[in-house]
Amino acid sequence: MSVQKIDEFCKNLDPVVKKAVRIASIGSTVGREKTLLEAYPEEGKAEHLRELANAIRSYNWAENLETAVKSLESNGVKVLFAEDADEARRMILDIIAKRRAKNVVKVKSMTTEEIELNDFLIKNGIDTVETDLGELIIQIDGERPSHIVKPAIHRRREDIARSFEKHGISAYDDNPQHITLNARKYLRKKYLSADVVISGANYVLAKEGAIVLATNEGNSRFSMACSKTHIAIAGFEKIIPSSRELAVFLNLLARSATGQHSTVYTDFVRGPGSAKNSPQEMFVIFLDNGRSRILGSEFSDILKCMRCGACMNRCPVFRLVSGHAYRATYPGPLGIVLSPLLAGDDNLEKFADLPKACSLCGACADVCPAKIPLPDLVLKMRDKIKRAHVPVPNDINFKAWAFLATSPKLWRALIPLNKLANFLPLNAIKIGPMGRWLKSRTLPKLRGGNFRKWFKKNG
Amino acid sequence: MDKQIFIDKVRQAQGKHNPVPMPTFDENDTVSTTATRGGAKAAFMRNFTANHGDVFESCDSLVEFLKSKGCKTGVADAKLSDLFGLEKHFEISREFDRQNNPDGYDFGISKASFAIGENGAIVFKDSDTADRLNTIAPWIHVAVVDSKSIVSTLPEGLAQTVDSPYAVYVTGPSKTTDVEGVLVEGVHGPGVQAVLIV
Ligand code: SF4
Repeated sequence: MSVQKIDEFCKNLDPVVKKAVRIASIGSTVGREKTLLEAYPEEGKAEHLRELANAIRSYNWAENLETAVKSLESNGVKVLFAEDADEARRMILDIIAKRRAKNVVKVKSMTTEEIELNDFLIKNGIDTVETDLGELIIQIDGERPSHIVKPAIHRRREDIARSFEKHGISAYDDNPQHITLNARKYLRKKYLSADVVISGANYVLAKEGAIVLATNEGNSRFSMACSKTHIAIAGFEKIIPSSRELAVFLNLLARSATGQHSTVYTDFVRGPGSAKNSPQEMFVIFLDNGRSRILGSEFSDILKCMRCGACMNRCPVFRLVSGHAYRATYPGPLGIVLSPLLAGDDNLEKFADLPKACSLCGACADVCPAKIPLPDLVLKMRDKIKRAHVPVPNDINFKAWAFLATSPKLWRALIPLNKLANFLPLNAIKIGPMGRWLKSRTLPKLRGGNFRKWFKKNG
Repeated sequence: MDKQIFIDKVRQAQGKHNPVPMPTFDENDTVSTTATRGGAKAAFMRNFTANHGDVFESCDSLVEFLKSKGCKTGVADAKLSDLFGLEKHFEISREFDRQNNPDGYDFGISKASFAIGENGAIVFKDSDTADRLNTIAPWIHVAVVDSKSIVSTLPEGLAQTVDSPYAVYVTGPSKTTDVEGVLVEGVHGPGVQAVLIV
């Protein structure tokens, strides 16, 4: 028996970080509840909205995609299609290289995290800077986000200030207000010298041919004021039929994500800009990267995710272990389901232990704005991994137990022995998993074991 | 990857599920009765202020406010035809000098295309804005909103948003909670977002 990877991570987690993650997660959960209730005090109205958010994206993606491509193209957008991360990365680099561009500003996008774009561009000599403050904080230290909405949730102000100093952004100053101001000054130069802006898309409106971006900082608008070329990358699942349906999603997204009634900035980009400082050309890259495979599987519901983070904020396991424990782009209940799927059947082993990091309490499904049945999907994932017979790293070995439990004769023969448990010096076990388990538990005296005898006589 | 192959892959995968008809819904299903209470203008002012935006209904009070913030210079978007006498109190440029003076304006002032009550948003469309930088670069930004242009609900707003190459909703000062969850206003964009309702 050994310790699971996720437990190991949790054990070594800085207690201050642990507390910060917990407080932030609980804060967002409470904010979600409060704002939804404020906006929709009527019985069942918020629930109805969630049902709509689920139903609107039920299996009409091919039609939506076709419409979106047509509308985007007629708005003057160049639309490209990438089968996987590698193709998407190369497409983006190609666009940048053809323009002899050197400076790229990024608007926070989980899809670009998924395809690990930043490292790739930087390796190819492109100065690529994240403009979202949280993303910038982790980018300069070569970290991955630990939360899909609050990427730097695990960082303390002192070490942010030290990193800013180390990377020449500003002198050491750990006041959050000043950290933000220093980032403002630093990024302003980056915006003004940027050639290309790369964004994701929170939604794509098929009928109008527009992408929708939601931010609080305004980095989307600033980036799109300065650069000459805009590249947006989106999984095809981000497409919804039109701006009419968008009302459903905008009313759920910010409330579910951060407990705000709406994000501060919501950008609607329909093509090259017409204002003086605005991109002269726009590309939209639709990404598959396993999504069509997922769509054709029993896990298709996970594609309805709007990346709000409510499920992880609410998850008792996430609150304890934090995002990096899930070792992938998407943590929490969402990650448990999505990471093994994105990794593909050949790499199932990598994430085979994740579905166990779930108590099946169902809280995530209660808060998910798209009403994704997350616990069902976690169970299906456990089943999938079991059927695939992939070794689960650091799995607890139940083989002996399974053998006993499936051999009735042996089982019966051993029953009288269970009384022995009363004489075992359990408290003396101080080491190993058993020791850890017993540290906080005392076993009651075993009095059972007589049922079969009783049943034979009276049954 | 070829467009048709990409779309066909999606279609094939989606074919494994029974088609679900698009749900029909009424626009009112999404509208918050509490957020739209009191009519379009009242709702807009309430929700915009709740997000720490500043609302002014007279030019005098706006001038006083800008002076109290130490403003001396401003940049007014070229598509804003009336400066409401601000030019008497401040040195105002009609063009954003990106090359030489990007940080040189104490405030920016631009015309909002319209505003929305339900989410307290001011809307800037490219068709009504000469230069996007005016609205985003200065520390203080003032949006001029025609009171007749304020619509009550988000669906009403959405119906007239996506007809320009670019439009943006702004519901208050640019903000973040990325450092230990502490709320800080004024990240990249304005730390003070004001409207002048005319
Ligand atoms: S699975 Fe649901 S709750 Fe979790 S991030 Fe996605 S939309 Fe939000």
